[in-house]
Amino acid sequence: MIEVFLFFLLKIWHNLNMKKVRYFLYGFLVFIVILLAVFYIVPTGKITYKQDLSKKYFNFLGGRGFLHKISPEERLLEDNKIIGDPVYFNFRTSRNFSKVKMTLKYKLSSAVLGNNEYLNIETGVLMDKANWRYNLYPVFNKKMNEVLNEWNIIKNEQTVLAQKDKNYSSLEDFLNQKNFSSTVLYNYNLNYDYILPDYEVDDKIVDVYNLKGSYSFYTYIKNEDLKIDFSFLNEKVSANNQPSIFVYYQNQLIFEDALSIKDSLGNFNLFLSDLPEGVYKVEIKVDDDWLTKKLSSHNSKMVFINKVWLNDLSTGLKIWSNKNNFKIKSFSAQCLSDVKINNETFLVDEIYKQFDFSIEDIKKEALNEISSDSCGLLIETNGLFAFSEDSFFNPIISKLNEESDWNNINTIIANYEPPKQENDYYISEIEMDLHSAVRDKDGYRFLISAPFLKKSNNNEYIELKEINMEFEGSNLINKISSIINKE
Amino acid sequence: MIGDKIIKYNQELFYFFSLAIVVFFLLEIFFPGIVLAYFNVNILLVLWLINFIFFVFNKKD
Repeated sequence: MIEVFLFFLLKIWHNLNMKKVRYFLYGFLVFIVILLAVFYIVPTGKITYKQDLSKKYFNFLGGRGFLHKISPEERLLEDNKIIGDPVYFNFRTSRNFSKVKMTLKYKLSSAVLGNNEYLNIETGVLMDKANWRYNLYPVFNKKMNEVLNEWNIIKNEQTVLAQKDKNYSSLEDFLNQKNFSSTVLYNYNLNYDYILPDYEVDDKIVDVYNLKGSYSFYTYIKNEDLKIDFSFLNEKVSANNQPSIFVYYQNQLIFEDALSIKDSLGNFNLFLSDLPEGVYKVEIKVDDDWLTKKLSSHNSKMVFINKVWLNDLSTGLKIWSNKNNFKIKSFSAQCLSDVKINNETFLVDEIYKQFDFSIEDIKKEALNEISSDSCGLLIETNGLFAFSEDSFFNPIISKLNEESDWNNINTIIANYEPPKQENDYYISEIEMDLHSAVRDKDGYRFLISAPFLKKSNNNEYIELKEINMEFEGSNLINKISSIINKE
Repeated sequence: MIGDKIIKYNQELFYFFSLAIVVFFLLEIFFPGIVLAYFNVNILLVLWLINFIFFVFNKKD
């Protein structure tokens, strides 16, 4: 056998001439360059990248790949076991894509499954670099997995209506009855006409002072104009990142404006008329160097969503919330102070440290009062804040979370696909929209969030085995025709 | 005779590796990630170096 092989090798050697070798070598180089160009341009618009994270050996021939290191390192064990929340990774693609299907193969350690009643894993893609905003998509939710096995399920395309007792035969029937008091949502935006009963227009002006950075709030309009005056102060006098303002009605953007404030101080008067009755969401996007010195709402109802960051306060703060647990942080040593939530007092005695304070939720429907003599605090919760009791209203349907009261939940509307199981591993497929996603020199930035991982216990981890990314975008012909049409 | 042939082919390989390095280098400059994402260029450099040493020590004056 070996003799035959050697014989053929010698024959090839004798028949070889310099010209043939040269053609072969340079032809091979041209072929490699064409191949690399095809992978770079992705002319079909579709490409799949696979990354096996369990491989421990070094592939000396292979390149650096597309997945750029999961970080931060202190939240990882052995490069692929996540022990802290959240972790980030970049995916370097050669071009833009419009969507991606991420397939994650992962294992949850037995300690994670045993110690946590509520497990929620999400992944997301960076949409706004200035505000560090990610669009999140569900990967794994233990409660939802149980609900999908045990409750009555009606599936409408991707949306699932889960009922504890079967009262409705279709999602449409359920949405038409307008009572959502025992309903929670999971990864689902419900557009419904929230009407505030007994609402009457009054001339009361709600004033809010010294709000730092970005924020968003709901306001309510009935036979009146949407009228809010803003006064902005740029603390660092930089011309970049001017404030942007967005107004939404039923999740649809109805107004947007990017302000152009030349000096450190600037005003903006938001005025929208002829609006139908309902809830309007106003969003201010700006970096943390900006302070809203004064916000005056001529509409009497105003609730801030999830956070208020107050700064430079001279007389302390007093706000109300429908939640009983808060994350509070101080960014200045001068502002360290006691925080009173109803009658309980908590101490914020360290800067840049996030304190988790919660009180017993005795008054179910009532508001909790948060007060402090501090000169500035960042207060966050999974709910709403108001600057006076009168201005509070709650237009949102609860979302499924750790604090959800399971005795009072009868229905869940969700966009959720439970993971498949393969031995000890789960496989989740997540489709993400990349149209407005940020793509820079490091590619697209993704995150994996698992809030139950506290980094305190190395037995509690998520082991990532494989990440598979199927990118999809316009193909070369469509791309060329769109360029020609533009011209 | 065979030795001469090896030297000639080695010379050709040396030119090929040199050209490949230049092409990959230029591609990587103009289109970042086009080569390095798929291929570890260090391997090419090591092969080129081995070839270069062989080329220098067997060069016919």
